[in-house]
Parts: sequence; C-alpha cells; structure tokens
Amino acid sequence: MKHTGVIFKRILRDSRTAIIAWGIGLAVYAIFTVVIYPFVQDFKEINEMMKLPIMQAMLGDKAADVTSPGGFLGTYFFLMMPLITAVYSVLYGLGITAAEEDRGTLDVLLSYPLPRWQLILEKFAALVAALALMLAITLVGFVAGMIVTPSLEVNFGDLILAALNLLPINLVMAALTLLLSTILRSRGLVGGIVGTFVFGSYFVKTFSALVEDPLTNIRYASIFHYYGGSRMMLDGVDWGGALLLLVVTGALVALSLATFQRRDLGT
Amino acid sequence: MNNKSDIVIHIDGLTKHYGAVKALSDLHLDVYRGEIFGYLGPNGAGKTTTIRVLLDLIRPTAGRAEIFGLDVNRDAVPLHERLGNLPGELALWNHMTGWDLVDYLGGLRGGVDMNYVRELVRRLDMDMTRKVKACSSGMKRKLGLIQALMHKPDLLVLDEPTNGLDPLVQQTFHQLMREVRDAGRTVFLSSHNLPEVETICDRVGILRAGRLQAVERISDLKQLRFRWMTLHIRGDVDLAAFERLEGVSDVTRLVNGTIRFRVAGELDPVIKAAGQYHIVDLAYEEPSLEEIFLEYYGETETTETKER
Ligand SMILES: Nc1ncnc2c1ncn2[C@@H]1O[C@H](COP(=O)(O)OP(=O)(O)OP(=O)(O)O)[C@@H](O)[C@H]1O
Ligand SMILES: [Mg+2]
Repeated sequence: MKHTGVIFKRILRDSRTAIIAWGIGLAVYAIFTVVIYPFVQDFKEINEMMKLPIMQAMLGDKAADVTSPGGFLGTYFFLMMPLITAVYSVLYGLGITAAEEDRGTLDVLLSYPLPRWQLILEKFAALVAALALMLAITLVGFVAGMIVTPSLEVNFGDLILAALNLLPINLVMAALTLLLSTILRSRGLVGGIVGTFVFGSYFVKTFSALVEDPLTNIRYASIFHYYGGSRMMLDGVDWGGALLLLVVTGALVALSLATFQRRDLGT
Repeated sequence: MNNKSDIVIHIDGLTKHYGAVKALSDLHLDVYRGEIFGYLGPNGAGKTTTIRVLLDLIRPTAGRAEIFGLDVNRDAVPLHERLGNLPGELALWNHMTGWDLVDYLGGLRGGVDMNYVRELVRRLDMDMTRKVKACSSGMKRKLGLIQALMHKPDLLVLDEPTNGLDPLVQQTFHQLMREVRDAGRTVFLSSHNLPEVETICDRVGILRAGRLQAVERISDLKQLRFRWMTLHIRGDVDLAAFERLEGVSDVTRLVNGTIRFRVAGELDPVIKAAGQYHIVDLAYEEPSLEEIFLEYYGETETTETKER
C-alpha cells in the first residue's frame, strides 16, 4: 500500500463545503427541535394522539412518551435523522466509484500506482470522517438549543451516544450503494433501489410495531430495526444492532472490492 | 536494440470482445526501449481498447500483455509507478486548478520534481491557476500531458495526444517526445494522423478492425509514400503527357481543365511537365491511411476480399 491518505485527504478537502453546509443544516434542525420542546412538554394529550394508528405508523413502535425529553428527541429527531442523512450517504456511495467512472476521471486515477481496493477504502474512510464531522456540528446545535431551553433535560453523554449510533446505519446505506453501483451500471437505478430500501426499512420498522403478525418477521430485513426507534434515548442505544450494521457494512464493502477489482471500467 | 531484454511492451495473443463486437483479435506486438511507436488506425480500430488493456482498466478476453516484464494485471501497481498515461477522452476534476491537479496526482506518486513541472508548464505555455472547468479542450490536453510527463516515466502511453492542440503546441509536444526518446525512455502513442506519426515515430503499427495489419519502420514506409496531385490548367491538356511521366499513375480528368493523378517518388518530372501549361491552381494531398494501407498491402487485401 503506497502513498496512503492522499485520496482520503483530497476527498475531505473537497467535501469541506458540503460537510459544513450539511452540519449547519442538521444543527438548525436540532435547534428547532429542542426549542419546540417546551410547547410539547405541557401538551400531555399528545401522547394519546401518538397512539393513533396513523401516528404510530409514521413515527414508530411502542410510542415513547413524547413529553419526556428522551422520548421527544428520540421521536422527533433521531428516528428521522437517517432518512435525512441517507441523502448524503447514498450520494456519497455513488461518488466512490460510479460517478468517477461515468465521468472518466477513474481512467486517470487508476493509471496511477493505486490499487482499486485502496481507492475504495480511502474514500470509505473519508465518509466516516465526514459523517463524524457533520454530527459534531449537529451536537453543537443541540448545545445551543439546550442553553435556551433548560427544561429539556437530557444527559449530554446520551446525546453523543445517540449521535454515534447514526454512523453505522449511514455506513450501511453507503456500502449498499457502493456495492450496487459496482454491479449495476446505472447510477439512477442504484439510487432508486437504495432509496426504496431505506424508506421501506423505515416503514417496516414503524408498521411492524403496529401489527403483531408472524409476517412482521420482515422487520429483520429493516436496517431501522437495528438502528432503534423512538425509544432509543429512553431505553438506550442497541449496541448489538449497531455492531451488526457495522459487520454488514464490512461485508458489503468487501464484496464491492471483489466485484470492482475484477471488472472492466467504463463499459 | 531489439534484444529480448529491450522489450518494453510485449503483447501476446491479445483478444477483447464486447459481446458480439470483436474489438481486438489475437494481437501480437513488441515495442522496444527507446523508440517512439505510433499506433495507427481508423475510428473503432481498437487503439483505445489496446491501451486500456495495457493500463489494466479493462481485462482481455484472451491473451496477455507485459510491460517491463511485469504482467499488466497482476503487477499493475508497481508497473504504474514507471508509466505515464494520457487518456484519449481525458476527464479531469472540474473544481481543481492545474496546481491542485499536480498536487493531487503528484501525491499519488509520492511527490514529483516541481522544477520539471514548472519547466513543462512554461514550455506548454499553460495557465495553472485556471480551474479545469474553465479550460478549453486544448488546455485540458496540456494538463493531461503535464500529468503524464511530470514524473519522467520510463514509458509513456498516449492516446491521440495531439488531438485538439494548436500547431505551436504540437511542435513543443514533438520536441518533448524526442527528448523522452533521447533519454532512452519509450513512447507508445495512438493517432489517426499519418504525417504526424511520420515526423515523430520510429515505427508504426497499423490496426484495422481489431487486427494488426502491419508493423513497419517509418523509414521503410516513406519509400513507398505517394501523393495525390490536382492541377487546374487553362487550355487543353494532353493526359498522355502526364501518364508517360515516371512515378505518375491513375491520371484522370475531372471537370474542365482539372486533372488528378498520383505521384510517387520525386516531383521534378511532374513540375517540368506542368511547366508547359498555364497552371491556375495546384493541390497536393497526403494519401489517407487507408490508401497507404491499400498501396502497401493491396494484394493480400484483394485476395482476402475475393475469398469472402
Ligand atoms: N465499452 C464498450 N462496449 C462495447 N463496444 C465497445 C466498447 N468500447 C469499445 N467498443 C468497440 O470496440 C471497437 C474498438 O474501439 P476503440 O475505442 O478501441 O477504437 P479506437 O481505435 O480507439 O477508435 P477511435 O480512433 O475512434 O478512438 C469499436 O468497434 C467500439 O465500438
Ligand atoms: Mg480511441
């Protein structure tokens, strides 16, 4: 392995603007969520509303007490977050090989002393760093919001853990995109498949809490099942689930390396 | 030269099919150290396909290729250390400036000699502060040349390098190629342009429909060169007077007063004969690659056609 880190650094440098913009956007979302809390806090009827099937279908299983700080953040922020960051992670996944292959820059890059697998691994490592930076900026938003909203009492450590838990689900989405884009040649098709899978996963997670039926075993195919739901901050992060997502990520990346190593580029 | 140890590129039975398209069929070719090898062929002949196999961007259907005795696939990484590449359809990162590009790509080589980069920039007269997206196609081509040359590789693989370069830059390019050769390094370049290949290459391979038709030294090819000449003459012309001339053939009368014929060898007899007439205009054309090819291999070509 030679000249390690050149791709990693370049990608991070090129993504600066995107990382900061996304970080600020997510931080603003965090601030808005936090400052709304006092209005929800005194609105106990909302818990009855949340038990309506339609609300459960939208927002999840065994609805958390949304008037409690942890239930509130879990339901209105962390449950939703992967759907938002999916946009970044899936686009990033397409950018690892597919976008450069379509544009032809890969013909330049891979004529350098750079193994194909190293290109993928460095770009994937840069994604971990980019997501971590984005989430760090988001946490700053939380702190800002909590300063003006003292009634939202959550342990900052729990908040960091919940943010960390966002990494595996995003990595699995990016890795799935990467794998599909090394097999299928259409970026649009790959984006469509992964998008459907992510939203499907979300609704399988929320609906499966609603119906007690053996058919709901498909919940195990939902990445949100392993991510956790609206009770994430009340019951604690499911680290076993997170670990499983990381293992799946590793397997998907390994498969991508194998398929990409073998095939013709730009055909 | 031409010892086994001097072989830089060794292509052995290389075949590449894209579904039903036979892009390359059983190609055998050796390129030697210190030569500029021109790879000529019409559109779709398989030039880019050959180059992309050499760079391990695509994998052959059959056969193999070695560069410096290293397998192009298995030993791609160490091999690429010694190789500079200019793709035919060059794509670079739009948001980068020329200097960003040198920094990024130079980094992948563990750093490059910036004095030499500056020399290349100066000689190619390139504005390196300009972003790629603001570059004309010729400027992008110059950036492509800079990145291919900047680490002084032992082998340059260039796919239609002068495509889109203005004549002045082409001159500089030719000069650079001669310097590369004089330093004992090797150049493999593809082209459509026979006169250009004639000026800078030592040997030429002619590829057609995925098959290598001929590999010749340029000096041999030049002996067989011919030109088309068109004369626009005021007054009557005696075609026979031209037909009799040495080296002249295929004399035809076009529209009134215009005749066209082939000239091989020296021009002097033609000029002297034309001196008898009032010449309004004269045109002198390079034969197309196809014509050279037919001239050279006309007989095998016709037998093949008959067999079909
Ligand atoms: N990815 C591909 N899929 C299918 N056919 C291809 C592919 N790439 C090239 N071909 C075909 O292979 C043949 C050789 O193409 P190639 O690009 O090597 O030609 P070339 O000699 O470089 O032509 P040009 O002078 O136009 O650049 C052509 O018939 C082309 O259509
Ligand atoms: Mg080509």
